[in-house]
Amino acid sequence: METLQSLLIGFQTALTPMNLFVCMVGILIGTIVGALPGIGPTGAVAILLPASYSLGPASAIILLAGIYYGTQYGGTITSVLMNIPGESSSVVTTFDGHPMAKQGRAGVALGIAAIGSFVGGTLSVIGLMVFGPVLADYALAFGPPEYFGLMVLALSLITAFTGKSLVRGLIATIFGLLLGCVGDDVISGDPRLTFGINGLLDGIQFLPVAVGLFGVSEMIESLILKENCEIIKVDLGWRKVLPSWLDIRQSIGPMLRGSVLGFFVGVLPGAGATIASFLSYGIERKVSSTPERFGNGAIEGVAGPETANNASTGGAFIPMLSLGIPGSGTTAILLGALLMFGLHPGPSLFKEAPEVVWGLIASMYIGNILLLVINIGFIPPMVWIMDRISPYIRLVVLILALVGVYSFRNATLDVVIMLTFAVIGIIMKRYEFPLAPVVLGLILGDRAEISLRQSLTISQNDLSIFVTHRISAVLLILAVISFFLPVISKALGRMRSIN
Amino acid sequence: MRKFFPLPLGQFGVGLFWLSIAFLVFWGITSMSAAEAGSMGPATFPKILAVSLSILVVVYWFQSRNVKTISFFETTNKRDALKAAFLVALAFAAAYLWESLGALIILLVLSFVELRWIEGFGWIKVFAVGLVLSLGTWLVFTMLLGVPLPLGLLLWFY
Repeated sequence: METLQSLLIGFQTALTPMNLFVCMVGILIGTIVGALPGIGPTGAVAILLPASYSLGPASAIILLAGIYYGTQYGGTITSVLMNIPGESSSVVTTFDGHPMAKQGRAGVALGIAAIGSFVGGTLSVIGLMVFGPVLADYALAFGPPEYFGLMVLALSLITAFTGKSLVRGLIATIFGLLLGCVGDDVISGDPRLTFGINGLLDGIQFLPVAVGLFGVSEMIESLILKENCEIIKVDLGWRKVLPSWLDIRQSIGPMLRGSVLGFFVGVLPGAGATIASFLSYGIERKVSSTPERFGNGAIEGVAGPETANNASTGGAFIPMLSLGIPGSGTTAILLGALLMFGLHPGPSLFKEAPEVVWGLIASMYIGNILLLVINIGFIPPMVWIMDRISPYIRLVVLILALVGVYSFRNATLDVVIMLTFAVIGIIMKRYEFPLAPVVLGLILGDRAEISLRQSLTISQNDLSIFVTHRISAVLLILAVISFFLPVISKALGRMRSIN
Repeated sequence: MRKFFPLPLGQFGVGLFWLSIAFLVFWGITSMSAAEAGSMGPATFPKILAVSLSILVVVYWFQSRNVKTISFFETTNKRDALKAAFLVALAFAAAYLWESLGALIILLVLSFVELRWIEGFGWIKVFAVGLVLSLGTWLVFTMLLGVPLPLGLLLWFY
């Protein structure tokens, strides 16, 4: 009953003309960005974050979240029409979506992807609504040792799962944590690692770092890699996009399985949409009685993964809103946005700012309906817009990044930091260091340090406090396991291949 | 080169970059206390991280011994790499001159240069798109969002 009342408050917020407008703008930008290879959801959210600052917390988070789940829809368009995934989570869609397009069923592939995305997105919002407040209530009892355990677990999961190498992931995480150490010391207030630069007294802001690492670096890299987007023209009127009853019957099972799988994978830090879509594809091929159709235009191969990657977005909001722990680069930036507005993501957020949290949840219902309408009825105009924007996308990104980051604090230093991190981002990507742990480390760094120092003050420097507190002990054990899981699974794989 | 040097140069350079960050941290916290009133001081956490980073760099170098070198210029067309470097330099110059020349002038110059010499568009397109994008952004941020962007040289006209 309380949940329904809160949801009503959310709809009151989400249905104001202003918030409906920003939701629409967000999902449109998200769909276009998702379809254009080069800029990921993290980059798009980061670039538009400064522009959203003057909208206020509820509208800003509705806009940014709209971009986030909109990208999951948009990535399908180029996967099906060009065999080029707009997003890493849409890679799987090329396996069967593009063969379907070659068979003259491009419209059906896009239509079923849109319906699947709607089903996954909507079911995951219901999951978020049910599980989010429960987890938040549970986490209210957390003290400093439990929080420290939680931070270590989040950092270890994202380190272990986001990169190809544990060492490189750890280096990126520590780099992020060190960036979080810059500025006034969290407890004594002494300036630390500022090297006499007054602009660093408030610390290195996450916004210029995120825009540089994810937005500007991708833009520069697209110049090096010569990534351009040419859209194949096909007839995509709304009649061609509507699937037949047989298509829908074949897709219902994959959509339901994809929803559940995507939602729970999304909750895990470091996992996310890409892993969800690959897992869903694997499961659909396993449960199919005709697995040989996969790779040759099986509609289940589009329906399952497309549902799963959208369902993961709702799941990803749970740890971010309930615990204040982002599970990916994009949710880290969304969390940073909440921090920018003076809100404290975590268990108390549901009670402190219900209009923001529930407004976001309600806007996701509305956004998913709008996305279904756009993706069923307006694919040709979307393709036309993408075709017009893509030649100038680099300049658009650069201008928005420069103006946006400057306007955040009216400081040129932030622009210089952004450009420096753009260069660092290119180097890191070239040498296969993951970027998400840097932003996550920067955001969680000072909170992890405060929890550690408070815990040690409480226990009079006795480290056993982390073991004697049961929840913190469990979280730390899970963190250790997650560190070694990839190593163990690699070793097992090697042993299997030798055998 | 590899005969005399056990590591690919690229990976060695990246490792040096991380080590220099660890060194900067050590240098930055030399005057800070490691313990305060019997509890952890402000220098301890960064020190632990810097030590861990240094150890990890050694492990990274060790792991990179048998890795094929990744050279920036080997895998990239030189012309495109130069274009990218020019774009970065241009963006840094824009940041440097942002307040003295003003946001609008910087955006216009940046747009024209990017569209003409990096994207290779014709002059008419360059002026039309550049003008629309820079002026549009400036108007959205200053008028719609109320952000006070620096006027720079435009102050003469006020």
